[in-house]
Amino acid sequence: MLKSNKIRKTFFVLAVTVVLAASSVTFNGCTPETDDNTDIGSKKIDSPIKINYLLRNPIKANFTSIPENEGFTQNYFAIEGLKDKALESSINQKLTDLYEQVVEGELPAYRGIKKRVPEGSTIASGYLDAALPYNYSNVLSVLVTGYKYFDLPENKGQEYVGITETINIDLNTGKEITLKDVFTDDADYKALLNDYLAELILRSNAGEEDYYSMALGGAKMAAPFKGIEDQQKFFLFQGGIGLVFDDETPEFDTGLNSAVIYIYFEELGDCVAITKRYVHESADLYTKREPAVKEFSLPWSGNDIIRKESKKVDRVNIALSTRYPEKIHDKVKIKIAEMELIDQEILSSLNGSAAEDIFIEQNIWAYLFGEYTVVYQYTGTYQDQKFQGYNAYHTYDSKGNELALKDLFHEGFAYEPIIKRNLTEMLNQNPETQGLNPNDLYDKLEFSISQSELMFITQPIRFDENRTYPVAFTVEYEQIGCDNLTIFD
Amino acid sequence: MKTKFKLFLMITLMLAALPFVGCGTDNGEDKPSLIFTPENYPVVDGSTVTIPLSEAFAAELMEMPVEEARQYIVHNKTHQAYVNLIEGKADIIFVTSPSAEEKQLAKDKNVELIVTPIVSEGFVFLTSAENPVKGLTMKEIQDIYMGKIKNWKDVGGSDVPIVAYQRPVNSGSQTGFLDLVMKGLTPMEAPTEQVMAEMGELIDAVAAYSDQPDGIGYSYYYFVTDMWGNEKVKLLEVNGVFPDNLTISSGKYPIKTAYYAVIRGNEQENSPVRKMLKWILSKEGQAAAQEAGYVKVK
Repeated sequence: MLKSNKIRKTFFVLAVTVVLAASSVTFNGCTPETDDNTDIGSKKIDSPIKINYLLRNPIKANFTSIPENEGFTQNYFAIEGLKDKALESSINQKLTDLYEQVVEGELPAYRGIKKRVPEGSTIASGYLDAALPYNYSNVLSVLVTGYKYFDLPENKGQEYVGITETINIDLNTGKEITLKDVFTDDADYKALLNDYLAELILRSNAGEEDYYSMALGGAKMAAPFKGIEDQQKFFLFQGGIGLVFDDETPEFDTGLNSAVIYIYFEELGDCVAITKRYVHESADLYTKREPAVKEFSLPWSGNDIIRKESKKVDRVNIALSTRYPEKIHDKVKIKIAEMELIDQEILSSLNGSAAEDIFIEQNIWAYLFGEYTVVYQYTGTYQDQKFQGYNAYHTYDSKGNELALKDLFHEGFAYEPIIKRNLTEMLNQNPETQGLNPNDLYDKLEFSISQSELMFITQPIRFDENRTYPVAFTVEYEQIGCDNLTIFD
Repeated sequence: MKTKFKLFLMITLMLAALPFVGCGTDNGEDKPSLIFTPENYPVVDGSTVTIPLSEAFAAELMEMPVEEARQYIVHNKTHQAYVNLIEGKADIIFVTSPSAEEKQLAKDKNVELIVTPIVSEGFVFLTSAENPVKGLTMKEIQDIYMGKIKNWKDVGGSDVPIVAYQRPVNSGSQTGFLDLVMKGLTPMEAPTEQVMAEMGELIDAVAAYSDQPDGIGYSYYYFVTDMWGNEKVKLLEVNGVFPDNLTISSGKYPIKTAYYAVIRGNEQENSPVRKMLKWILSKEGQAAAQEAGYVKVK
């Protein structure tokens, strides 16, 4: 996940809406959330807690890669950026211990492992990948996944063993965080999670041995689910909690691997304390003095309204797909319903074509970022080997009112040069768009907010006789400076 | 003299290779009457639902903690377990009863299957704890699932339409439902819901049981008695008998089935596998089964 902080440069192709473009980093900074508690480390937090956004820690992960030809393939990191170097060193030692455990430690006590990987088996290859799925609000969550392939004795083939380890650390103290700490002190976190899991297990037909369920990560129930333990393995990600089930939770039959169940903060209500518990006004933890960058948490889409339709109007084959969170404002739902009606102008122009196979695909996807609703609309037409793509982006506030670009910025902030600079960089990356004038495209840019950046898309550009579609780019919040954005007010 | 010594040595070695078998099966001592090592433990296989049972047996018979014994146990699911037994790749399997296909496979391969019930199981009906209905007759259940009874008021409950949930086609529970409950009667079409499939497309799937007061669903007893959240659902009496360990074990509860140990008919008398089966049916074996959450067969 940390790798996503790198400057990303991606060219927009066909219908894909989420595309990133180049951006150079200017650090204007944001104001961190603060409170009056001066204790270092964990503090008491009661519900209700509303998570509007996350505060990114100014911690750098320095990755090391050991390629396959040196044996066990490894990608791991050490952190850098804490002012207290002794603390930083102790945290890095914990990470090193975790990596060594995966590479050199005993295999997890999976069900059947001694039968399936008997004595005399030798490692054919191995892999370790360390990721930082959550690096916010003075908390570090590290997910280490790996596998070992074994050559079995007597040429009986190979066996795969997957390994998942996690560690969650309070950056104030270097102490490990347990699942209990993620929740407010007044929450019965076990009951909350157990109710959630019991319902999921029931709905997933997890006791039926031949029935696969994505929601349980492929795990089956070998025994009744009696509830999680205090030391339940977990990690945090930008949208919630990943619960890891493996040899330590034998009622879940996961084979020689682990299974992860993802639960979004939004599903857990107002008792998630992790964005507040370790944030202290008086703390001065980092070498970088700039305040933390703000990001929205990953949107949950589990309760989405989904509509799909395929139909033929005269000679045009139409495929429609709409998806939006159930709880968005009614005004936005009405707007989406209007968008679902295919533009008559497009339809007429296609029916007038002499081509035999004519297709329209329209996707309307909406997401919630904090209190804001973003709607992406894509329409693609294909006829006679000609492809045309159209995109529209919309951002609505909590009352269902659509925002204009200027509404995103505090008055007086000169956002235009930043956007034009990123637009120009994106155009210059591709020989086909190098000659285009950014000023011509700027006025008709479509925009939306997203998790950690503003997204922009141009009007369709005619590349040649057969290809007409828009190009997209982004501007990271970090580049703009969160203090200049109204969306985090 | 030399010959006698050789003979003595051979017998000694043979005995050492055999599992240790005590004098009695129900000796009441701490040590089990039959002991194996991981090296000579019979090759077991079975259904997913019998995994904890198999692990409990292994722990007892190899005298090790279940966490360790578990590492020697592989169950490849019901059908594959039967295939493995028939093909001689497993010595004993812990499974649900053989299907017609599995019986035919055994016949085709000229293998006799000895099917022995080792723990009892009940097929139970669930509804919300808030539902005032305490129980149903078998006939009422059949009528509900055939769509003849549509409202809870017709079976002594509130004036609420009944939502009769089923399980996915060909799943173990659905097969059990058809065999043990419907007995040749055709149930109405199951309620469906749209679920997200792997590639993100929406598909119609049999709706899963929900603990709303209007719902009724079913399960095997083993999975629901000890699960988290079972205070939200309640089990229904059938023909006036509430399903519990005693009524299921005694056969008083009317929808009873079992999990079975299956071995090949050509297993030699007194072979380790036959001894193991005998131990499973002993007081010790049944106690281990009960400890693991199953209902004793006797």
